[in-house]
Amino acid sequence: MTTKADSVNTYSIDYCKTKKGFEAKLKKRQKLDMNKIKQEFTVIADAGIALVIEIDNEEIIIQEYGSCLFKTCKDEEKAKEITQKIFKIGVKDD
Amino acid sequence: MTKALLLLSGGIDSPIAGYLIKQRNIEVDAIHFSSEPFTDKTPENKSIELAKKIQIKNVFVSKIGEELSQLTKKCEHKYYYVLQRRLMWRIAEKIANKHNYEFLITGENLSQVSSQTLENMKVTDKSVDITILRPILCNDKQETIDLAKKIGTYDLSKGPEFCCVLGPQSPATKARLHDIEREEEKINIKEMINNALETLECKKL
Repeated sequence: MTTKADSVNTYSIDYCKTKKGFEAKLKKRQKLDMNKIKQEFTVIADAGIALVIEIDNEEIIIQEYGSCLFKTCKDEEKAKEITQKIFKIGVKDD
Repeated sequence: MTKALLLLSGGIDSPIAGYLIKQRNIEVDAIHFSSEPFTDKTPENKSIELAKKIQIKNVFVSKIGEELSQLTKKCEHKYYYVLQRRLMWRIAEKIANKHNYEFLITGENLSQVSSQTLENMKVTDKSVDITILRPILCNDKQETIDLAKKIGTYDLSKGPEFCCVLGPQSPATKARLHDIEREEEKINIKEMINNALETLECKKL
């Protein structure tokens, strides 16, 4: 059985399809709890199925189905740290 | 001289559509719809560069990120692309009427995006009165790519940009008008158009 802790730590991070920026994806596709993410982070825009949030001076687009697109962050290590923060909040409890 | 307004994205197809119409001695200006903050400034910047490349002199920029988020929040997601197009065309038609453009031009093409079907186009057409020109509707993708390379827009169009994050994974391919009109009852289209027109910018190139 996969636990929440497993899910939070099981993601891939790479350049998105057009190589514009980093994209982190949960390996096991699952819906994130967007309401919890909204409560925890500064929301710039809310489209329901996607959010634009700001963390540590970086803008990130979060898609409901477990992906984070980094609009501004060009540092992979920082992107990983932020991804962990988002998934820790957004991955639903088992 | 006849004037037409091109719906210009940062992609491969729309600049080619504009280029082909310009070849017919029609004056072409463009409108770019920006979905910021659900993307960054890149698509807008690419559109400006593409417009320069095909010698367009005026580019309107309409920021509709907030309006698009209303579509995803309030309407059935599978209809997103049809609703988005109907909204963009209505805004473009308002601008066309104000500035005497007789036609809208799109880069729609039947061999590419799954939502660009004849059925969906028929429903989208019903949102406006202005005539829509689709000069590359039946092109093979390669035909368009070859022309883009020839006129020097390909590398610009292929440049990196964030993909659309608001579209559904399985969009409707056979939308019916009454379903779309039912979805549009959930949103305030007039207000959305007015908001978009209020923030409209025109860039002289």
